[in-house]
Amino acid sequence: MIKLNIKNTTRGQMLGIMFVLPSLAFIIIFGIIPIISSIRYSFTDWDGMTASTFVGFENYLNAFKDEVNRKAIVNTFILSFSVVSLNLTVGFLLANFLSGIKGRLAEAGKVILFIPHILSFAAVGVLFSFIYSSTDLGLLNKVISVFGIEPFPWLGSVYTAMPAVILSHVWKGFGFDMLIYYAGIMSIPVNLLEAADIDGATGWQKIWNVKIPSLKPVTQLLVVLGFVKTMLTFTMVMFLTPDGGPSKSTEVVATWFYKQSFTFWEFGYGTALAIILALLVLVVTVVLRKILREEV
Amino acid sequence: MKKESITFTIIKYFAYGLAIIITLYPLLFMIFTAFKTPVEFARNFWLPSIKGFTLNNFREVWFNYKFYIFFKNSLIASSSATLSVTLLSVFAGYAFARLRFPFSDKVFTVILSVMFLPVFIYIIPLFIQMRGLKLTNSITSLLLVYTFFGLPQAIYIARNFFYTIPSEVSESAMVDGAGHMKVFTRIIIPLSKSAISCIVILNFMGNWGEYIWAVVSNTKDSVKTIPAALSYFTSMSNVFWWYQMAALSIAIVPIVIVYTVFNKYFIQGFVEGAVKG
Repeated sequence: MIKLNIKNTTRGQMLGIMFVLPSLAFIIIFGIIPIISSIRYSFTDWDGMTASTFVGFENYLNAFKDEVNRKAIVNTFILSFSVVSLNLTVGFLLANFLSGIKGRLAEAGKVILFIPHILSFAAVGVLFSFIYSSTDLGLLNKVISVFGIEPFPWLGSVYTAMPAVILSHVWKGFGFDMLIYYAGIMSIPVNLLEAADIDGATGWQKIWNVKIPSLKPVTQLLVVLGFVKTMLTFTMVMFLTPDGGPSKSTEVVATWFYKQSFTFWEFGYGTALAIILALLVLVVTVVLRKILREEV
Repeated sequence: MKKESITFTIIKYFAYGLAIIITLYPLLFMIFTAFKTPVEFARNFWLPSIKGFTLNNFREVWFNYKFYIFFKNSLIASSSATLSVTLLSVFAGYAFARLRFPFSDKVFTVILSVMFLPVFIYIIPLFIQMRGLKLTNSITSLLLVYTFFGLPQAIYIARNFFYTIPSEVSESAMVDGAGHMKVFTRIIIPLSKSAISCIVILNFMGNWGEYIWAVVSNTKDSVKTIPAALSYFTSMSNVFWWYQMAALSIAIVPIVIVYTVFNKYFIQGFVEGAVKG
């Protein structure tokens, strides 16, 4: 037995190293090295073509002065907060409803309502570009024309552009929160709910006093996950409002990063923006975790 | 104990029905319009039509708008990257879970930490790398970067899964004389169907819809993928709606069909992948 172990240990170790090496190579070449490069680039003024000049923290200072960047950061937070709140609410309500039905209707509901989530952001972006189209043929305008209202530029008005972007994200995303909540609700101990019934609790009371508290960990997960994911949104916004929306009301950090980097060819400034975004995400994750933990 | 009023129940079912309609109708509308002639579209906006049925929009989009190229590119890029991620991650995950080797914990942390930085950190340096390797405007560039994008999470899923296989399984096989490789290929992999399908689904879906790297790396039509090609159709473009809907259908319908059939695995894959990510 001992001989077998020694032989297998070293051989196993070598095999282990071999198994991991290709993956490690990918991570180092396309991951670690670019991270270091990004940090380096962020301290330069570079157009990606000609020679770069070292400029220290100038890019980061400019990022604070940059009005569009500041607006983008605010927009990103508005978007993330709204999308997460709506996804949680809609997702929970639908999950709660589905948990009360059995059989085909519930199964079909789960399958259908999850479909938007599996679509690509690009496809959903094009779809909603059509829905929000300012022409009289846009789906939304066609709907309101039934009530006699004139066509409206949904993505062109500073009052509706951001809400429109928010709603597209919610349409695509609520199904995920719904499924996670569904799993959570179904795993609430039955006797907890039965006890509430015996105490004469109404549906709403059961929700407030039993279900939601039991689902705290689920909610915490969905909030952090959803907030970070939405902070990083890029594709959807690019398709809906490629120019950043009326008065840049829908420019987000990711889209501004892209435009600085690949439209204005400011690689130095661009990487600085990306790093700032990464730091923002880190801060938000830590803060959210702290806030949510205290509620328990 | 039905303590709630009938009206409340009606409201609940109505809200549910509304949710289904809001979710489904845009997609149904997309399909209806994709198969409509322009004339029919002007006449009948909301419903499908048999009289005005046409495959012309698809013909136009597939050939003249070159979607046959984009579809091919998306398929090759997504499949090849999914394949490489699955292969690499299953091997690596098993190594981390079962084959103890020096520094395995530290290496695992490094691999995982790459996942926590936003993709934008990598985009510019990767662009510089690919340009230097003369790999911009190539499917290879997509293959390499998509593999990188998918590896950390896949390795995490694989390792966690392999932890759940009792070590008695491989130990008893080794007592019978099987070496590590035999154990791995003959026993462990056949047991790993759920983890593998999870990794395959997450990666294929992610690669199929990936946009920012696709658009930065491949600007020539011959190597564009579907998401990049769809940017012809942003809110600022003026392409006929029936063409847009046909293009969207090509982008969406295959995935939806596969999803409906393999529905169980999809939901499991997304939920697991996200919870673990």
